[in-house]
Amino acid sequence: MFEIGTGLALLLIAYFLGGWEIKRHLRDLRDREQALRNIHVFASEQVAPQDSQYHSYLVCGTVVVSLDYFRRFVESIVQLFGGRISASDDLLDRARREAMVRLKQQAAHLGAKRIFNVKIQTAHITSNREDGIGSFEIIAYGTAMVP
Amino acid sequence: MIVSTLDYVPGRTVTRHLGIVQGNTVRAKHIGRDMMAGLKNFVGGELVGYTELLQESRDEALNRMIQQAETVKANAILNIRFATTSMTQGAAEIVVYGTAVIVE
Repeated sequence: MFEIGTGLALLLIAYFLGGWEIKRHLRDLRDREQALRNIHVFASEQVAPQDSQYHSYLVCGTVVVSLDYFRRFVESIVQLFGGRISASDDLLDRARREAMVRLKQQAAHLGAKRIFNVKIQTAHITSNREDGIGSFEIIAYGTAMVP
Repeated sequence: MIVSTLDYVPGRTVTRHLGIVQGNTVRAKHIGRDMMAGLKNFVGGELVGYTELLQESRDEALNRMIQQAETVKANAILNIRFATTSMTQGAAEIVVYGTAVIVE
């Protein structure tokens, strides 16, 4: 009985802490994206004509993220039935935005205004439990054109 | 050394192709970092220790690739790609590869 109680308490704490962390991250992302909106990112290989005399630099933004204890628990239940796992959708979306912001920060640091041929890659790096969902690494990289 | 994800260098021409160069590194997690990540895992969000660890590994792989390009006397590496593989519980391999060339 006591063990079930502790388990539930942990889930409840993780639910609130995790939710708070998500809200904080979204707020933070919005501000940083707003600050970096003058840096443009392209998936195309073709460099803009005004950049043709600039120098190419490799820029890279990475982040490793994981779900909180409560959302992992919900996810393991959803996995029994199948269907859309909205917590993971949301997590990976935020992680991609974070990686993109870091990519842009690096470009801004070099003085570049545009980044070309950007690739986004996702890797599953560890599993926290035998059956569970582990942490994911998102890498965004591309070529910044520096004057 | 020009390092780029494009397959050309804007404003310059490639005079020689020298083949593929690559760098890799396998890193295990640090036990202290792993404990911190375990705690952070409860709350969710970014695992800063792992982000830093993989960033260091990526820099090392890049350096190895650049060294290899220097031995074949290239002055640029084009069409760079990264790949990450989780090998076993607690270790990850990072590979970076590209084409070594000489540009004017």
